[in-house]
Amino acid sequence: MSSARRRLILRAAAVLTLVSGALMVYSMLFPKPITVVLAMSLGQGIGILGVVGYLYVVIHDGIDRRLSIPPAPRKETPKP
Amino acid sequence: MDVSTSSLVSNPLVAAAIAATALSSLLVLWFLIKKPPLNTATKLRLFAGMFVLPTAAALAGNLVGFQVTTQRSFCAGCHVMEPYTDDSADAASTSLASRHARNGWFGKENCYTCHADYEMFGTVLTKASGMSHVYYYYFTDWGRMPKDEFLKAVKISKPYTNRPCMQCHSTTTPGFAEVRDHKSALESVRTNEIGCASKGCHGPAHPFSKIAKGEDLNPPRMDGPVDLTPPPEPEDGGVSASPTDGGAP
Repeated sequence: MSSARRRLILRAAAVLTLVSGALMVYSMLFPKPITVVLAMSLGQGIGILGVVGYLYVVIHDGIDRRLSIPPAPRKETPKP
Repeated sequence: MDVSTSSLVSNPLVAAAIAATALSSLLVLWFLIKKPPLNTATKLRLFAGMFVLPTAAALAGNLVGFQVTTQRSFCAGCHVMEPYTDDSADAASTSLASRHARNGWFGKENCYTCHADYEMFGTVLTKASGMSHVYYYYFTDWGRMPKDEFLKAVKISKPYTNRPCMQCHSTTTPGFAEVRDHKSALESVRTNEIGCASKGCHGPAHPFSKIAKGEDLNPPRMDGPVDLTPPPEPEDGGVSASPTDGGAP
């Protein structure tokens, strides 16, 4: 995965986290049926999507880094 | 901020959820604005901002949500419920719902206390069935219905059973059994053949409970403290139909 794509996904996940938090706080400040239902269903769903996006990027980043490390040179044993 | 909002802010769970959300937002905004390189420090900060803190906020928020949904003010959030909640809050009302609302064990949670199921999964099932109310209110014409029209058009989805009543009024105390009507109808009450909240006994629970069924509106008056002493035996041994016979909180 390219660095730009990684950053794009992470930014989208960050925005989703902000939206999720806003829904949660709004439902606590204005506890009406629709706000509570939205926060506890849609809000938490959006928050989970944000976490999934973050984990996707971090895991891919870790895999890419591991693959890009060149293998350690093998020690050549002197032939008798 | 309305009254319910200011009381919620004083709730430590609300304060914790808002603080966690604020910290999370700060970390996320820092990432969005500063655009730092995606190194280990950034990943750890984002882990806190996108997972740890939002999870804490969600847990606290869920607890607050469950608390809020037990409040009468929450039920009043749908305008068609206002006649019911206004009656409960009316100190001069003598309806069964209002008299229970004045009992400290019910208080501002009297709607939930009487309408929640008590089984192992009672809370979950009650919340799930409450979702159908949300659906009807926002996706059918309930939400646009005038209150008086709603009272005529909508009734409780299934007959109210005696089980919630029997959580407090166990039907096993001597005082309960001393009331002649209770004694004669004990098995019928326990098997729901006779409803505690039916008209002629202690109901209807709300002054307008029976409008949708087309019945007349003469809720039995239950003024003053309830006398639990058994009435004198009538000479013919008949059964009294007085609605004020004992059992009320």
